[in-house]
Amino acid sequence: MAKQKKIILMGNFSVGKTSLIRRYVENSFSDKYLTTIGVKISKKIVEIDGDELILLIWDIEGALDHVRRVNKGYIKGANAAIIVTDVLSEDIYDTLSLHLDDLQSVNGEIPTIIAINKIDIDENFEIDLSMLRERYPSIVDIQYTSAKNDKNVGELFQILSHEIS
Amino acid sequence: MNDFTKLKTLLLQEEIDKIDDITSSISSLQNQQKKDVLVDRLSLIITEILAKSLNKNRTELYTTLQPVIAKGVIDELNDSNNNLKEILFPIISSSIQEQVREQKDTIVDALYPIMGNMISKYVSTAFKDMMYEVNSKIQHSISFANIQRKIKSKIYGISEAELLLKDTSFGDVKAIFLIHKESGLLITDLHKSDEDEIEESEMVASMLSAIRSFVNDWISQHDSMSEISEIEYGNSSIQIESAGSCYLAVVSSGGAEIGDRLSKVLSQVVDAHSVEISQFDGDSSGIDIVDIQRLLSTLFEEKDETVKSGTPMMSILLFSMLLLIPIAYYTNESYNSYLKIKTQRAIEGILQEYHIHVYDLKINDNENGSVDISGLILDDSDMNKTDFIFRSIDHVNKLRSVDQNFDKNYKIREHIKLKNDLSYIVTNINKKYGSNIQYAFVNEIVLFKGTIIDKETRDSIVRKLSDRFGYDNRVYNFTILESIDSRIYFDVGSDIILKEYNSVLDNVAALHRENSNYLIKISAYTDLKGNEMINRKISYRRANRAKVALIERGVDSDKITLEYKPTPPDDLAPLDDKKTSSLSRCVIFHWEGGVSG
Repeated sequence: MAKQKKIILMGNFSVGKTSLIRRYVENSFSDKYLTTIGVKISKKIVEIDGDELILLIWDIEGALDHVRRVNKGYIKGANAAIIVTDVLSEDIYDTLSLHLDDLQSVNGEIPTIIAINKIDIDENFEIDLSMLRERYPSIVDIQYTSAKNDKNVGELFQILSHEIS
Repeated sequence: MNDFTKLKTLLLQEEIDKIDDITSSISSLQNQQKKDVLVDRLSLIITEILAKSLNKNRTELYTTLQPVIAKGVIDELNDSNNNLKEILFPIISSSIQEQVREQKDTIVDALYPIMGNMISKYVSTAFKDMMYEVNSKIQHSISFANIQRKIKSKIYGISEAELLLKDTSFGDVKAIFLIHKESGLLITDLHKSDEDEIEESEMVASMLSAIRSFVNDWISQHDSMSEISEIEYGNSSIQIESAGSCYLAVVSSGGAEIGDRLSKVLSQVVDAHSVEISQFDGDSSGIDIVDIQRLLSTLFEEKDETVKSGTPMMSILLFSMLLLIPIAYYTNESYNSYLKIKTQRAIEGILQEYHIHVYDLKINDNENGSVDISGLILDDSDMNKTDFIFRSIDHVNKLRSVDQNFDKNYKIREHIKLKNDLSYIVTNINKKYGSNIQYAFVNEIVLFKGTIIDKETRDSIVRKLSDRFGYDNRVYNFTILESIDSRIYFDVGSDIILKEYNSVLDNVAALHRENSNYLIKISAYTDLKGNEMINRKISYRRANRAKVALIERGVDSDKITLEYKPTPPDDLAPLDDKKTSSLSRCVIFHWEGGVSG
């Protein structure tokens, strides 16, 4: 059986998590919805150094205000995480910190990529997250992505897949 | 030609000719195969006649035609060669359909009492017959399977018939998934056949894990012990059993009952592979998947426990031993006291059901974690029945959670013949004298032991045992309860306990700790000065003060009884109150039922 890895996507409501996954697993995917219980699971088979790797991507429903807690059971056992925010979000640093804290409290330090989505809206957008990376060494990369224009979406998952394969 | 004929010819010749013409025409028409023309013409007339009759005298017409039509319809319906049915049935069917469509509720209301009662009566009768069959099988047989079922029935409060039905229900295990509990990643999966192969097994594993996690987190958050155990859909279900770092999800159809086997198989998997499974991170190369699949594949096998008619009770009374004692050992690292009580009750219930009299049934935890079941059997013929029962207790382990292990080791311990119901005698004596006598069998000697409140009581008990218990090989080891014989004294009108009596109270509490099954009686008294009502209140307060003081020293409040009098104690009453009043204001501690200290 090919290796399997569980990747979770966390992030506030409407930052584009589902769009990123849809873009990534397009045309060769199983896309099952369990939205009523706050998670959507997708599967993508990738090839890393000649070996198949099955990615099981858990898209965890984002809260509007981070008040509603995330079901820790969804985070448990993840091999890697993508924390998504977007160029329109306020308090990016604090929001990401909250998600990173949630993640670490349940799963310890696992390879994590920060995705700053909707870069198509403001192509020049940039934010200094060096302090965040200092505080959370588990962050392996920060990617500016656009699900709409398919920018850096494949790279996002590719980097993570290499990291955990 | 006579005169009359002549006259008729003269008068009616013209009409006769016309009639002849008509007759001729009709004959001609008939002869010429022109019936259709005739029918057409006549039908017009008949229709006209009927229409007129219908308008003028409808009721009469109906009355006239009804028997004819009814008979005709019946004849037609009885005639298998006719096609009336073919004509009518579609019309009737269509009418019913329309009626149902447009007036569904009315029809349901109208039919419900009839159909409901009919179905309910039928089902009820069929079910009764079936349950009768099932119960008669259960009641008239003794077998391992039956006794196991009885134990299970007693412990879980499910009827034996229901369990038997579950045991015999048909079902089919379609697929098995072993899933890592935390990550939801699939460790391995098995499918009974290619047809049953479920695509996207990894997705199924993840989604089941999400659902399980959701239920555990949101629905069962107030009940940490709850776990989702089954998901039903149509005639199929997914049964879930978790243990250690993984859980099993078994897809089955047709009500396959695999509960016990599921636990057993998962327990085997966890026992053999728990370390690798706990370290599973999506790469199954470090796990012996072949062995796990071998273990899991047993779930595809048909349940081999079949219902047998069993040997009649009497036929198994072949062995003969004097008495016995069935004793069973089995090990269980974390033996649950709740289950222990339930198990004991279950065993007691089964013994009772088979009319096996067991005395002194005990289930004790041993230091090494094993469990010791012991008892004494009165009747020789019960011996072989107990053999069945205690061999069946082996299977009690199936009733327990999968991560507990049992080591079966049955051991017969003692052989003693009892002539009387010792348990009954001792229970009654304890009840009568408030004693706590226990008995034990040591090398065929019955040892009675216990603490008795005083010598008189001890002598009475020994007499009773001699009279009622005919087995002579016995030893008494009774001790007399140490008298408390303690008093504390109070100032005039006061209920304050002086500090100097702390040691007295300490001693009383210590004595009770050693004999905690006995009750302490606190009797409070006053001198004879003052108003009786006031004295009674003072006495009451003194008794309660003493009670609180003992409770503070660890005595259970249920073990204390109170008595309060507005008078001196009996031993001082005859004396001069003026001289003894300071001694009268007291509280006396003594054993309930014993001689006053």
